Amino acid sequence: MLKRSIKNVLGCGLVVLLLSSCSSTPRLIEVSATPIDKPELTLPKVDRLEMRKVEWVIVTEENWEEVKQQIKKSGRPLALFSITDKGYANLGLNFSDIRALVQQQQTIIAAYESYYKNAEEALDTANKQVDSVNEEVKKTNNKPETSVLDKINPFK
Amino acid sequence: MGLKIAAVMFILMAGMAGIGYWYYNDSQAKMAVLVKNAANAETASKISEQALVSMKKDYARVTEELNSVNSKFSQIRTQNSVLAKKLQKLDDLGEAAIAKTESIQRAINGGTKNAGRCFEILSGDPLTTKEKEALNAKAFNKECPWLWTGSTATK
Repeated sequence: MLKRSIKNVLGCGLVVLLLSSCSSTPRLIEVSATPIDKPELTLPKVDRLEMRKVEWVIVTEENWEEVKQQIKKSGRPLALFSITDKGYANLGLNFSDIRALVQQQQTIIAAYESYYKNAEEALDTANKQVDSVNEEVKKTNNKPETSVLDKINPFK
Repeated sequence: MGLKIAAVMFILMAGMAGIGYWYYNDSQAKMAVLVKNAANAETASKISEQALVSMKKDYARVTEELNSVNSKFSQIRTQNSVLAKKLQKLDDLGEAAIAKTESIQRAINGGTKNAGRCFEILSGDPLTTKEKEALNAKAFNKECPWLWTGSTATK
């Protein structure tokens, strides 16, 4: 009778021991975020413009002879590349449009530059914050564990 | 008989104590891992919160830049319409050129020179002393007075 009881107790103990070994330690989740530095894009400046001299000559019926003499005197061939008043106005407006286009392009480039420079700064700040959070977590995780026995041990 | 029972009881108690000790250690290890996991989850949550804040800021910046560009474009369009208005005022440029040939010729040559200078300034050419010391935008350049940034002339 006693032998059987001992066997039962030892058997149960063995079963409990075997079952408890089925439990496993949960997997430790690791979180890592490593920022990568982008190389800085350095572009050359645009070429400076140096406009060539352009001189307009208005030729009318009255001054035609005078203009002709002047051109002959200057030694240039007597060939005038002429446009009408309407053509001149259109040429001026075309130049004005091109100037506006250059200004618009410059505005767009400046906006891109400003946006990406600010974004770069924001990214740096965010990376610093992530680093500080990670550091905090590391500190928490690396704190030495104190067991209940350690806590109640008066000699420690 | 009594000794045997005591021995069995001792073995039993020792076994139970061993199991208890093992169980305590095992659960402590599990708890430590769970605490670490909770801390890591908190980190992930904080990082995603920061990402959200950063994205919100980026959207605000995008809107700001877009508004600024739209406003500048509007200014540029207004500036560009100046010449068209000027030419509209001169109802008949041809007739004016016949009536005042020399003065119109001087005006269009001056205008062409100034318009060319606007392109030079836009390309990054440094301002001349005369341009730097110009007391107002018109004196700076009649074709692109909006490029005047102020006078450096000492009074």
